Amino acid sequence: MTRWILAALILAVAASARAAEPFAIGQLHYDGGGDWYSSATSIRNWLEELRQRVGLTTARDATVVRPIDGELSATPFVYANGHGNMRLAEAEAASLRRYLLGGGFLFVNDDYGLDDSFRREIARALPGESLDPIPASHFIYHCFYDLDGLPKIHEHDGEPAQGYGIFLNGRLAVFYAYSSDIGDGLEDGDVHGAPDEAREQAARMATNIVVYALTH
Amino acid sequence: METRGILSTPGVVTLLAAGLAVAAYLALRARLDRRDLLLLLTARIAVLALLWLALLEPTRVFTRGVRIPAQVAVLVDRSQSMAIEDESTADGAVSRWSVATRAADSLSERLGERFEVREYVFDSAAEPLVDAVWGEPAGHATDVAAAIDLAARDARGAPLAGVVLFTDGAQNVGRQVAGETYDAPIFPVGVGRPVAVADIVVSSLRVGDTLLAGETAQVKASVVIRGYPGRQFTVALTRDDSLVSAARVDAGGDEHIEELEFPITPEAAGSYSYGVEIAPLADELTPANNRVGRTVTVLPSRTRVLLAWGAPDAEFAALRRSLRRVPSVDVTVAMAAMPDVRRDVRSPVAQSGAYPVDGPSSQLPEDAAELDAYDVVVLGDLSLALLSPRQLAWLTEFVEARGGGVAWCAGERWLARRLGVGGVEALLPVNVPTSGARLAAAEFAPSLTRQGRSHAVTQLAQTPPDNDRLWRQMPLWSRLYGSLTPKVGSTTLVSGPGGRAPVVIYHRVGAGKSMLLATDAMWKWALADATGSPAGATSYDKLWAQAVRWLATPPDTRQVRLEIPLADVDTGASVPVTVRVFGAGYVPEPDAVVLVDVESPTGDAASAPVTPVPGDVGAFRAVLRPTREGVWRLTASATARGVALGQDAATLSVQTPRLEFQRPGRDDAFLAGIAEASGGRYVTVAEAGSVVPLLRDSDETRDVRERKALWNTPALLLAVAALLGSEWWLRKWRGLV
Repeated sequence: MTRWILAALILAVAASARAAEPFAIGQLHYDGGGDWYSSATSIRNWLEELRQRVGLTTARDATVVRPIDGELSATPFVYANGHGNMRLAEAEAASLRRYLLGGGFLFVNDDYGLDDSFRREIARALPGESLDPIPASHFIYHCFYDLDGLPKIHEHDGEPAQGYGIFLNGRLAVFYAYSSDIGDGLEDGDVHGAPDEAREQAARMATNIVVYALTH
Repeated sequence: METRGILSTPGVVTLLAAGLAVAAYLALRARLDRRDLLLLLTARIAVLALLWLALLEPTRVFTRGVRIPAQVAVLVDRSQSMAIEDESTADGAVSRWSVATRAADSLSERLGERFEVREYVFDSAAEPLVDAVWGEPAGHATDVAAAIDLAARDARGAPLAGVVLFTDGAQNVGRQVAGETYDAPIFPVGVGRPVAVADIVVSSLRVGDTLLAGETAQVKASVVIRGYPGRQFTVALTRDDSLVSAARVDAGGDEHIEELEFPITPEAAGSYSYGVEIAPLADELTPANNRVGRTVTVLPSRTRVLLAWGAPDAEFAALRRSLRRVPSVDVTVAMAAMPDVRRDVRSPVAQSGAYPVDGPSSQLPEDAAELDAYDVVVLGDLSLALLSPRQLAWLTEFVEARGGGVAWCAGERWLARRLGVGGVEALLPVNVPTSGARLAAAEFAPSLTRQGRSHAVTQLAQTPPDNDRLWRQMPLWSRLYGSLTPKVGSTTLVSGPGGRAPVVIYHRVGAGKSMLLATDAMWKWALADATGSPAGATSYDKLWAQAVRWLATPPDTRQVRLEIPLADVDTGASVPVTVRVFGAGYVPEPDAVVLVDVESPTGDAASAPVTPVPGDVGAFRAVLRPTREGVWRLTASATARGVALGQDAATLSVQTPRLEFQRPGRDDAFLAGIAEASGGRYVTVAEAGSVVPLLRDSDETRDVRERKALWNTPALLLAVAALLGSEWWLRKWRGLV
């Protein structure tokens, strides 16, 4: 009998945990050979930061989504990360376009090596829309933490960190962090050995990105 | 060969008869010689044997191959464009429909000599012709693909020699058939004059659903003029059938397309029927597409909405974006920072206690004057503990005394908390358990209640059936806050699983209204475009725009209210009109005598029959079917126990459905394409008879088991007659008769 009661309690706890997850980060599972699954601990840490810093009720870990109708719409926020090649099929590009035009938000983190393929694929998904630099005065840098712009977290080629974005109907729908590597900064401390200050900056920027997406 | 059993009843009877015959003749042996006795006995027994053989019913069973007659399906388009009178006969101009049905009858008769002919009529759907009655062309759309599919399906594997398709080719709904392959040849028979004939079309009228009194808006119209190069036309903008302004259009070429804009500044709030029209010409294809109408609601001022939320979330972002797209709505945001937000010196949120979503002023109103600046307050997932007692008191006063509207969006920070609704219980349309609402994460299909089907908030499509269909097709909701019981006097518009739990529910509180949305996952509708649902994002916008507009409208205190589901309807459509009657104290009055008077655009007046609505106390229903284009005026009045309770009026803008008259000319290219792709041939209606020799007979055979009765033959009858006759003659000759 005790075992049955315990099982019922576990089920009840599991059900209530699922119910308390209005915000999930959709980790984009794209094709093309790139490591979409990289930065394994970053999303879990990111969600934890959102719970602590903003008080959001969130999922515990990433929700993997393919760029197809039905999966994208499970979450208002999709995150793409990686080092290699990204490739979207025609139908996937069309789904991503519908998702973004419908109000979804895409944050892309160049973990070094994603730049060329991301620019190519986003141009296919949103033809005619330009990926423009986002100035430091933009609200995404100030909506929760007051930042000076996109922080530089991980050094690769010595280039400065730069945020880019695509506006759809006046709304910033795609935010692209180039040469910054917010994802690395969100990983567990022992993964890349990033200093605490850099990791704090990454957490603040990641917090701002989500707060911006959930208020605009 | 088959027979009955030898010892069956006929066999026994025959044996008895033979025995009797033998006995009878043996009794006569003294009067007959041996040879005659044998002859007579032989004849009688032979007769009995033949009769016995017949009674056994011997039958020959054999199998033979039979040719299966091929089938031919004759389909006739009964959409509205077939009513256009552009076919000519010796008697003058006649409709496409008249010509097509006559030709189809004639062709079917000829085809019937060689084929099994099945006749169908089709518009947006197809059905077999019943009792050879063609009816009238009234369909609002044409789906050729559906008609061909039905003909193929009905053949059920039997050989289909071909499909003869009488139509003008104006396919405008359903699957496009271009590039398809077919199992049987299709012989389109084109009816009507081709596309290029002269015609004037007002193809669209675009204006917002709601306008603001005193503000200028644009009425945009598209006009297509075919076949009148060099001619000038006047395009008129009317309001309630009175001229507002006009524009001149010079038709430059054979097909001239012009986009027009008419600035309008409605001076007073109300409901107006705008129309854009061009006077018909005698020689144009049809006058049915010369006008487009649209009913517009003019509001006295912008609806001022305060979105007060407790934290960033998807519902807030979707709702803010949606309301900002509505021109007649001004949105202000107040988002409080949760008390547990980590204090950080560089976070403006932590410093101010509020999210600066729309600038630093995103604070909850601090005094009554600030709250009075709004018409509607939408409270999202905001812990009511963040509101001071004064703020809660002002919120109650805002609704009860000032007649404001409040919408409560469910959230874990208040509705699911123990004692989370403290201070606002009276405002909510539901009773909430002390422990808070129970949150269920599972997805569910929101379903409209009876009241929701005709309510201004939840009407998202043009007709009630379309609205029901749209709600069923929309993405599922999830995260339902349950254990809520509706208060007495509340109205549930949308319910959850099993039609039980209230999801969208409201009630009146003093002079104002209060609505609860018991889910926080409606934002999925806003993302519905991502799931391939075409009406998704639009429906989310429409639902919220209608909700805030309705909440901002003071409660209706009239005792007689006339409700029509739509202000714009098509000719011939069935329009349910509901009259709600309230007695003293605004209690629904079931014993009222209700009259609904209808005035047509030509001024003809009539009364519509009215009946009480079963199960809806105080509601009465009349069903109209307006047949004439223009503005219809309705007046409802009611009395109870001899006392007049008042009256209400409404207008109905009726117009010819647009779809069938956008390009009403015969589409030769479309029809020839089907013929070519299927191996058939495209002919005009005058050449319909030429189809007959082109249809091939079937060479398919089927083995059929047949029976031939060997006993039921004239030879057997003759043999019996000859034997009996011979016996009689011999007996007579020997003096026995």
